[in-house]
Amino acid sequence: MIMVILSSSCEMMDTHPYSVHITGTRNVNALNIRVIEERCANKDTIRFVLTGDTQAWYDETYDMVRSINALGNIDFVLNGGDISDYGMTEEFIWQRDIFQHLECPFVTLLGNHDCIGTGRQAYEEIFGKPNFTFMAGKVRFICLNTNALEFDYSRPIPDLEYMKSLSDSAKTDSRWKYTVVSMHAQPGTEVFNNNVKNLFQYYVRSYPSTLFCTSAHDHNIGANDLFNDGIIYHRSTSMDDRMFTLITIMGDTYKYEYIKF
Amino acid sequence: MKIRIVAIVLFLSSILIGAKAVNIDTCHITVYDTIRVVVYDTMRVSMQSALRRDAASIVTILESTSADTITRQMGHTIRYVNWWAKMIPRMTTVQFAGNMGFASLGLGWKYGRRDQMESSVLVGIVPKHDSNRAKLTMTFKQNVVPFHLEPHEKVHFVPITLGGYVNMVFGDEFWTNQPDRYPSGYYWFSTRFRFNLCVGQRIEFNIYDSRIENFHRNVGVFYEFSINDLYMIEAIKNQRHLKLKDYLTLSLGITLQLF
Repeated sequence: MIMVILSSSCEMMDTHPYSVHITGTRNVNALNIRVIEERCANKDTIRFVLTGDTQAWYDETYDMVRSINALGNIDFVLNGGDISDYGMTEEFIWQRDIFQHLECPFVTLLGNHDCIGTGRQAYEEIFGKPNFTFMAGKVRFICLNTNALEFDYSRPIPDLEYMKSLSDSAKTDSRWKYTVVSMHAQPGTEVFNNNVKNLFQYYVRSYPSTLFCTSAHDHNIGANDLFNDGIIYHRSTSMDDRMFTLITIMGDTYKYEYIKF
Repeated sequence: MKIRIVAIVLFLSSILIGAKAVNIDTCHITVYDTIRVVVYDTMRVSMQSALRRDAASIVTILESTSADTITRQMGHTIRYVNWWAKMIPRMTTVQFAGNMGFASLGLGWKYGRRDQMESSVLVGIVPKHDSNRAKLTMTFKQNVVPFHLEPHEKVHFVPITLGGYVNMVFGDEFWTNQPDRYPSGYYWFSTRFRFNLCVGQRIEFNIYDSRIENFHRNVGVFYEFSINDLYMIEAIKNQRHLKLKDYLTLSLGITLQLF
């Protein structure tokens, strides 16, 4: 009994790196989305930070958080995934705690490294479902799990049914004017199911005025028109580059800046 | 009935040790009884010699007490039993936390000139927590006890234990090498095996009382701090943000020693 009390009270007594023993805030994405939707409800200009691949770079990630706070006037931060390097539970908790120092809300996508071991279970417990969507003003952000390689065809990834259902619901949603599709690994990477990449892009194009897509994964910054259809994939770089992307959406146009910290 | 079972066991063991299949009923029972007595004596002698175990004691005792009754076959049997007797685990360990489960139960061996080496095998349970299910782990642990102090004749204090352990977790979601679906060299590490280093302290009490003849000779309590390979990498990469309490793991435990 004494041991039970000691073990539960003493946070240093870890049972296993892959224990999925979650302490602190859960459902982080849903909580933050509520704030984003409230804050941006009547805004035409949306200013957000695109980052990702913060895995095992806590020092740098913390610097970035301070740099974003110093910028001010940011609506939210979009973390493109790979917040853990090995899928260990503590990695998710450490990263969440760093991001909670942000003065603005943040959402976190599922990366391929986040699926390792019990990583996906930890991600779902802390952040929520890997496929989710939210509105920032008139822009719908669609965040998708594209890490097909991690799931060995046991699940449909990307979930085209989910993409289709969103496409169908767009007709009845009068607030939804523009779209941004976010993912961890973009089409063409080894993690993506490239067998369906054209179908994926078909649904990306089917949404109301898709402005651009965002991705992470490659650990280098980029902006590419992958399908030669005018939809740019903005790729964030990893934390060791000490750089993030600041994107400002103004109606049907947007601008992006790379900011070093 | 009992005798019949004993005879069968002896017959099988006689085949194992390459004995001549003659006089099973008489000769081997004598051998068996002798060995039993001798093993018992060895334990007793060991207990008396306070943790120090003389590997050759069985033969020594036997030779000094009943040398004229030893046949070649018996001597062979005794050496055989003696060799396996060294493999008898002398410690039972219960360890809490330490990245090997909530609680782990194990058996341990002490060896080396001054019993300074300790090896143990532990089986642990990781609770379900927020995951899909509870997990079973297995740990192979090696400790070194460089020296100990005796502040009291019944108290052993080990100011420092140094060691390492390999923990293995069972379950489909963990792999030793990355599965075939990944490009070669995609993930360099194993999720199943974790390599840990540990440092700790221990205090042992001699609880043996000849009047009540209790079961265990020694009981010890220990604590240790450990770090695994992946946490170590993260700690080195993030010296500003990560603190000792983030990547070090504390575990507490009890050791029981029979002889």
